[in-house]
Amino acid sequence: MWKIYLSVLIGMFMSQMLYGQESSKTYLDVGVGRSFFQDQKYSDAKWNGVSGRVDFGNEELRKNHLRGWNLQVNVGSETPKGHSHSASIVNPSLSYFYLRQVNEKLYLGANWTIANLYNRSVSGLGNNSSFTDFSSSISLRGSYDLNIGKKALKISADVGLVSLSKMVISFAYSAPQSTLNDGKFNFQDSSIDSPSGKEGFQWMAPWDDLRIKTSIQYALSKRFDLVYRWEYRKYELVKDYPTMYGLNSLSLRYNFRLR
Amino acid sequence: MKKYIVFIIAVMFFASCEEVLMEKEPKANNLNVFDEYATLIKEKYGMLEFKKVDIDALSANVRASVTNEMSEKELFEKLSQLTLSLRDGHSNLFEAAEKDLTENSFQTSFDILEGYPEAFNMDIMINNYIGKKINPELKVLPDESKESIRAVYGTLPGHADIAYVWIPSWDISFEDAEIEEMFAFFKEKKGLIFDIRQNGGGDPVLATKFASYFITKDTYTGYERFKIGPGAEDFKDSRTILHPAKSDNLFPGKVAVLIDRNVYSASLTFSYSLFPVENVTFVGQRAGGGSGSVADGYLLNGWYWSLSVSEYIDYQGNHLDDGFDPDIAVDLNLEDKTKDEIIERALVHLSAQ
Repeated sequence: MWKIYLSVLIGMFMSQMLYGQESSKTYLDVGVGRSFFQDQKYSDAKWNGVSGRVDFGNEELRKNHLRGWNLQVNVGSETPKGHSHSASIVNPSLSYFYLRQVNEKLYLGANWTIANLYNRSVSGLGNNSSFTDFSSSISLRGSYDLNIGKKALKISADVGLVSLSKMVISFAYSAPQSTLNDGKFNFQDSSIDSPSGKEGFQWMAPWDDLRIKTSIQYALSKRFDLVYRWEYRKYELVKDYPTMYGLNSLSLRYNFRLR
Repeated sequence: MKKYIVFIIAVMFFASCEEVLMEKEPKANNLNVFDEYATLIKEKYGMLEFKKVDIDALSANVRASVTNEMSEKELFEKLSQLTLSLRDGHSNLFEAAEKDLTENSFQTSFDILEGYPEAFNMDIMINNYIGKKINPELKVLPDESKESIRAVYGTLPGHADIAYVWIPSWDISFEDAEIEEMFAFFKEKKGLIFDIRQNGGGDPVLATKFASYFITKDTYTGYERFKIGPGAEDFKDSRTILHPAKSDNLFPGKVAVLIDRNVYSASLTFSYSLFPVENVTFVGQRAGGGSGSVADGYLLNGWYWSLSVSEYIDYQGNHLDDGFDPDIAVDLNLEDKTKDEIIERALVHLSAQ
């Protein structure tokens, strides 16, 4: 499975390099945000904090479609209201999107989050100190260009369709829920704890794993954009015990390569 | 101007979405903290039936005396009644994370040692078995800090044909090469004393790895019954088949595992992995137990909790959380400082044909 995954990935990036385009831009975003987290399997406490965010990516516009990739890294820290224990979050994510032009302003297509690793470490805990969530997902994406005057405002939104996810946490223990549900827990199987280890992945439909991303991008100048993003995820490994997390962020984008 | 307004409105809209989409958070008052802890035990604790704890009745009874006005200390005492009802060394309640505890911190843990005499004495060990003076050939593997040891192994004075190893904790790591070297040494001996007295646990993966050197074929060792949902019947069993280590240094010979009441958690994992192995005999004092895997977290007010969320049942169907008896029970005579009766009994056992 990993071989197929890698082959598709290489093919996608190669095609982007080989074929010509009408316009292309490569960008670097640096921003800050407010992250949030709540895991009702363990507590009703809400955790909030400040997150730094860096995005690096490329977008290219061809005759009738828009495509590109984005590498995103969020790093932050959160605390709840009721006490001072903190959690540190590291969340790298790599994605690829392909949108067909529907009309002059509207593009519709898909975004494939090739790999997303959400790691959360809570100070002072033992077995539950580390919460790791590794996933690959496909979302529907719509993008709408508002040209107000000479400057552009682009609004886009993603809604998750399907995901292949592995959360190294379950209702009661720090092992994947599917591994425990299937009766496959074993101390000799090191793939259970490893985020990318084969044991513990599960396909999730949008009603079990809701993923929403929105982005509002405002062109300040030819080189600089202001990008606001809101990302939200809610999933349920056990009915009525959701886990929710996300990020509001504001970034300054520098388009350092324009063609 | 219009575009700025659109941008600002959109940002405000999405920034407030999470408040709508996230669940309401209760205030961290005494009653809510009590309810949260009682619910955690009810939904997550893996052995309520085995421990014969009626958590609903107990919670209702204790909650009746909890008020939002009572002091933190009083509230902690109320919650502690629930903790102690579990009689479980893995299930603790602390005022803060373990690393931040002080002498004055509120702490509740079940004392697994209560009522059991000492079955390991360091002076006796150093003066008669593992000290440098008495046993200079013994190999010592220190931990990173060099202040404590990960293992000592070699032979004991007067018994060159029997190997001895003491591993006082599983909260350590070994290089694969170190384990191989150890077992290559054991392999040349006719018997092995594997001393895990004082070993209160640590990494069960490491404990299982050591156990895998004592089998030569896949071995069913029992099953771990995990809590997988909030309901009283939401359990699932994971059957454990222990696979032999991929090594040329497996040890199929006679083994005496020395145990005391401190043998707990990952040391129980090591022990139950060897229960089906015919050549393995347990010598010493009743082990402590601790068969559950542990989850932990913080209550709304920041108090630390840990709970056993599973139970291990051995290949013969025995519940192990309260410990297990040795095959050969031996008491340590602390008045005679010249010998460790448990080691001596193990030597007799291994020397017998």
